Amino acid sequence: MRALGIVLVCFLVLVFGNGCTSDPDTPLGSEFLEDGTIKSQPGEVFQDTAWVASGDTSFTVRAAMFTPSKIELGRKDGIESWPIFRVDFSKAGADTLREVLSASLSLSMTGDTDTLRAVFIELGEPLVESDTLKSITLADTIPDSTLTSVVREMRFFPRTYSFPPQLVQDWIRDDDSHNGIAVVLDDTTTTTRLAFASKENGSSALEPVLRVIFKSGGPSTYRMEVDGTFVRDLAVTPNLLLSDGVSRRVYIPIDLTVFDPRTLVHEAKLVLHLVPDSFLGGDFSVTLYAPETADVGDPDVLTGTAVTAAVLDPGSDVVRFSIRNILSRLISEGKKENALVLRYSSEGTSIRRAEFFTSSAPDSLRPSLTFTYSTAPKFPE
Amino acid sequence: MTPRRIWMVLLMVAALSAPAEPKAASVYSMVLVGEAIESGDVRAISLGGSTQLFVDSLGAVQLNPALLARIPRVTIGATQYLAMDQGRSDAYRERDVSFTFSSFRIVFPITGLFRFGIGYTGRYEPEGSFSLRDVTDGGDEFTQTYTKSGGLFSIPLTAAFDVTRYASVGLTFSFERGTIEERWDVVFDELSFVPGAGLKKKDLSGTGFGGGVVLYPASGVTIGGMCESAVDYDAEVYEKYTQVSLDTSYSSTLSLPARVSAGATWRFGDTFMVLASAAWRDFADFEGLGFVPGSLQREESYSLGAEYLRGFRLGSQRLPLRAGFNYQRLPLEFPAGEAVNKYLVSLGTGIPIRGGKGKVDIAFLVGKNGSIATNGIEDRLFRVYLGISGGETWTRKGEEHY
Repeated sequence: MRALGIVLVCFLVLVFGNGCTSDPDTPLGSEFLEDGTIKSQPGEVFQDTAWVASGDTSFTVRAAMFTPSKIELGRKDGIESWPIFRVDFSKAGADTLREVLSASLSLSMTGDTDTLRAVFIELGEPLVESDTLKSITLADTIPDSTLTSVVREMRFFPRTYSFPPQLVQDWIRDDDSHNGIAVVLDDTTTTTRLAFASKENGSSALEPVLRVIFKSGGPSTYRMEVDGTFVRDLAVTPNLLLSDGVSRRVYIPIDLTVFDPRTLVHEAKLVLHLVPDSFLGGDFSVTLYAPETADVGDPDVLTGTAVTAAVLDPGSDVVRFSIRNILSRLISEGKKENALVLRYSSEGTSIRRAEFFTSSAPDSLRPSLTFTYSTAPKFPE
Repeated sequence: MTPRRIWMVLLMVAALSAPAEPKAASVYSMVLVGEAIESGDVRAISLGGSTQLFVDSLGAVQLNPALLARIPRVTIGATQYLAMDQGRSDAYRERDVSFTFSSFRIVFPITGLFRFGIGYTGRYEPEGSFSLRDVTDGGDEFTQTYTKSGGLFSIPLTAAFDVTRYASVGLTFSFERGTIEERWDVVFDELSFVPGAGLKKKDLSGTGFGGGVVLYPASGVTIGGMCESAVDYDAEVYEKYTQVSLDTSYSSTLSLPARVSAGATWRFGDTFMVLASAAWRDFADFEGLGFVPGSLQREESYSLGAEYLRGFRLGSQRLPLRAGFNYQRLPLEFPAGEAVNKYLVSLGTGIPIRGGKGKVDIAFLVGKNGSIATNGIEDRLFRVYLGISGGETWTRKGEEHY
């Protein structure tokens, strides 16, 4: 019995006397891989950069803002703003049988006390609130009620601007189509931008209205069917321009032929380099999406699959967007080319801009895709 | 239910409740079809290896089917083992602990001569994992992990009978099943990187035949041999990848070479027994799993054992003392033509239960598989085998009349 005990103790010493570790994630056994005894091979992992060679551009979506609480007039930072309106005469009713004595447009300036000269001009085509309004057609100038002056001084007070009674009567009776009104800046040197309350400002006392006094009976007040700000860019840039006011998006073509569909993309990023000091405005929340078409001239480029959202940092010189999932999807769908489009998340709400270097910039600055991918592991027959 | 039946049921439950998922610990088990499982009677294993030959009335799980011919009663047996192996190289050590349920069989006496047995026998266990660290050109660190798993096993149907008082014969038809799965995972430290994986799984099915002869030429002398046919597996192969477009499946084949074993035992009265046996499975013509004919060698196993039957006293019982030595040569030559040798020393005993109608056998094995000096990698093996078996006479009750 004692002998058996001694033998057992010797066994245990032999077994446990060599130390005891437990770490399954060690390379022990990898010798078989190096030797080729394990016949399978892991996939190879690569990291690469694909430069955008050409085709990157900015395209304009619209040149008007309809939803902000203010409408703007002026010129500042190379951007010119014109208030635009269309009065809603659909509820004129019995007013169509009445004779207009006087009419005035009420515009309430918010905050500013500066003045600017402007001209009221009828629009040649009906103004509709549109996501794609890129231009407006100007028609006849609207003089004041005395028909002697067309240049108005836009000011804090008084806030009314008289219109010719006959013109307004024709609008009410639809004898003359009312397409809308643009308040066009008549000052080529100003660097001021004035703000007026819009119909979305939240206070009915401040919203723009057309007040009409008839020769008999009480006055009528007509609200705006559409109001907004038409924006013109006066500056030209060679860079990729992401702007709002004039809403421009940045279009980056992607050559998917650089990706082997048999590989697995672990991570991919779109890298855009920001032009220093190109930021204007605020709220730089942006959205990257994959458009339904790779043709930048096709209207379908405006919509697509959201890829990721980010906030541009004016203090940074580069922004990276993770595009792994959309890239994998496009590759698996067998697409050869596609694109990514960058836009402001809340487009058409304020004047802002940011610029990126284009594909004609040096490699260190031009748009690129950095991606990490691996080939599939190989197994023996 | 009688207490005897309860005893049998308990044995079965104990056997079947053991961890059924084979999991080997040897580093070398991740190569080829894995580590050969020592599936057999624990008494034989403690005497050097499962190929050892001896008559044991409770030896239901003995390897040579002819030995079942002399089992007198309905007998059930099961074997499982605990492996606490340590893989080693110059740079690393790691220990794995695993349970393996290696064999099970129930034997029924059909007539005075014939015995029928059915059970489960583990054959090979492919099992192992290692990880490789790497970094991309851009400095992103990642880990590639290789994992091999699965197992080959057999459901043998055995018939055995005595030809004369000097010879027994056993025949086996077996359903052969198994899986071999290899997998590669790539995981980056940076969580935003999507991990990837690819796996290949072979579901194997086939049938096998075997036969054994045991001769009793003189009192105390047992000589025998057995042959297991090659197993030609039909393989359904599935490959799956994170890139689902690469997924594929197809049919294939895999042939496990035949195995031949032989052994002899001399028993000196009721005191002492010495045993010797050997087994060979020739992988030289093996083809599959990336290996081509000529790239592997013959798998060999040689066993020596001795049992001191009078043993030692424990309480009121005398327990036998068993010792054995086993040398194996693996079919693999690693890294470049160097043989991989496996040495095992064993020690064990058996505890009779219920007056000899049942027993518990235990065996301790310690050994080495490969060597750092020759192969650059080795296993330090420590395994505890536990076998339980029991038998009873089943009689058909007569018709009852009132």
